[in-house]
Amino acid sequence: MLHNQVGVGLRSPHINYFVEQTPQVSWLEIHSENYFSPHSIARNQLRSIRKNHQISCHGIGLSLGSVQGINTTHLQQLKELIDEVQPLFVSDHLSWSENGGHYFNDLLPLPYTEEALEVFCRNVLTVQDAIKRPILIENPSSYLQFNHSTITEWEFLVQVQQRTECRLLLDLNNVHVSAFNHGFSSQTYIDTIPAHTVDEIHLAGFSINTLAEGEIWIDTHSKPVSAEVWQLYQLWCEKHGSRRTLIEWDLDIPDVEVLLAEANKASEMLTRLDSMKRKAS
Amino acid sequence: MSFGLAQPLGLAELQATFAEGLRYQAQGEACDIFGGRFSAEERLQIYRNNFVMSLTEVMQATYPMLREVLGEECFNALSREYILRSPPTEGNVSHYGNHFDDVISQFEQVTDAAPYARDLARFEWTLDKAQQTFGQSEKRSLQPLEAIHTLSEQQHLNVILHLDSWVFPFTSEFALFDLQRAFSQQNFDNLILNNAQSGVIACDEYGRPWTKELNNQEYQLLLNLSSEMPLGRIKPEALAELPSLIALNIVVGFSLATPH
Repeated sequence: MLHNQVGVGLRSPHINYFVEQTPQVSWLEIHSENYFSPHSIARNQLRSIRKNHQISCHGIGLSLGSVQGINTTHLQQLKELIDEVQPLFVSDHLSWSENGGHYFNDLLPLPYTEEALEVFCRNVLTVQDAIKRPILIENPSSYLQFNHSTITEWEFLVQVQQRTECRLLLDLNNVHVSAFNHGFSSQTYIDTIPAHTVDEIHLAGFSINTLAEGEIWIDTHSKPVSAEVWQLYQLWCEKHGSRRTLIEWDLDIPDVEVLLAEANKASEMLTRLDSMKRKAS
Repeated sequence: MSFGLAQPLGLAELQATFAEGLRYQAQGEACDIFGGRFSAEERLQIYRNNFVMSLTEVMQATYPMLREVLGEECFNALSREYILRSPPTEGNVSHYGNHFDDVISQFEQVTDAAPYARDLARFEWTLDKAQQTFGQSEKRSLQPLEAIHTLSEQQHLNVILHLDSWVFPFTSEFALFDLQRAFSQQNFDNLILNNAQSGVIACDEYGRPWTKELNNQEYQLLLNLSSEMPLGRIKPEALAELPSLIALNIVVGFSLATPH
């Protein structure tokens, strides 16, 4: 059994494994939208998995940054899922995905302006009012910035947390990818986020896209976690203590053993930290 | 923290323009994107690619047989066309892909090379629709099938048999039920596609989809039951197939039509 803080993303090729096998991780994270239909095969499988695992509901469709506001049907479906699953966390992203009734199934970037901040906070509060609990907001990877942004992403994120009392999901791979793409320091970003507001950490792998002008890094979740991101993770945990940590792998999904081996790296790191802490005390 | 140093592009305008840009109806420059090493258009293109690729995966999951028969390149090109024309209208994209057959029908090279492609898209969409609909019981008061025996012979004529809402008739000029069986058995020997076939697409009690080819009379009866036609108005030769349809466990109960 892995360290109880470490979980993995539950993806369809592995569902039967987690239904049938003795639990090796204490918690799994689902993409909430895939389980909205209460009578679907996936939802029934989730019911079986829930008997032996805690679940975290991670969304990609709330579109919290949309000027139009939250889709009430989507919110109701999420609420029904939460009521049944009683998840550890409910999370979504610092991004938007809907406009004019169209959903783009991606984490689209926001301009970091006062107007966007007000819209984002309004939507977070709407969701929190509906589900009667704080949600976790995850920092996204991004490939562009807007000229009219007036603050940095990390300042924006801190403001969202302070104004809505939401919690944060710190994706260290996303920080690493965005830092390269936009030329800022990962450490500056990470150090600005108050550790006591972080409830969960995401770790994943990225891909490199080479254009004529140079490289751009893409958050594909299709590879093992990079050495640099493991380093960021170790430093963060040494400084602030462990948090629920998730290994995400969404594309070119490997055998479950490969995924669990990746989770085991986080587990060993946290176990070492626990042991050092015990010795120190 | 201070805002308002720049004259900001309004969020509503930005998101509308960006959304147009994702569908190639606006350029990156219109979105006030900071270019840096790359052009605004190159940066926007990354989001266009993510948008199309993520939904292409959804289409591949909904249309696995079509993807196989058309090949990856052709299927992805058709998906791209569909995605750009008809982005999802809800955040839950598990059941995205309705009317893909309409896009296919607009590409003659595809329909010439694979005349059954459009119907195969309809077939796979119906499989998906059965799963989407599974468990959604309409609020109607029906009597159990067993209670039919308590009715008089005259009342039998007014009986309307109701199907589960996740039961769909399907017909095609092509042998798609055979094609599906060939895929599941991975045996395409003796498969002749140019035979019309009709049948039923539904879900079992666990929500797993199943299909069955029906003969002409069975299919006619299925259509009659789907349109909630009273038994007295169904042709006797079709009605004779009632036991075989009931055996499929697709009839959920009955109601009585008001006699005219």
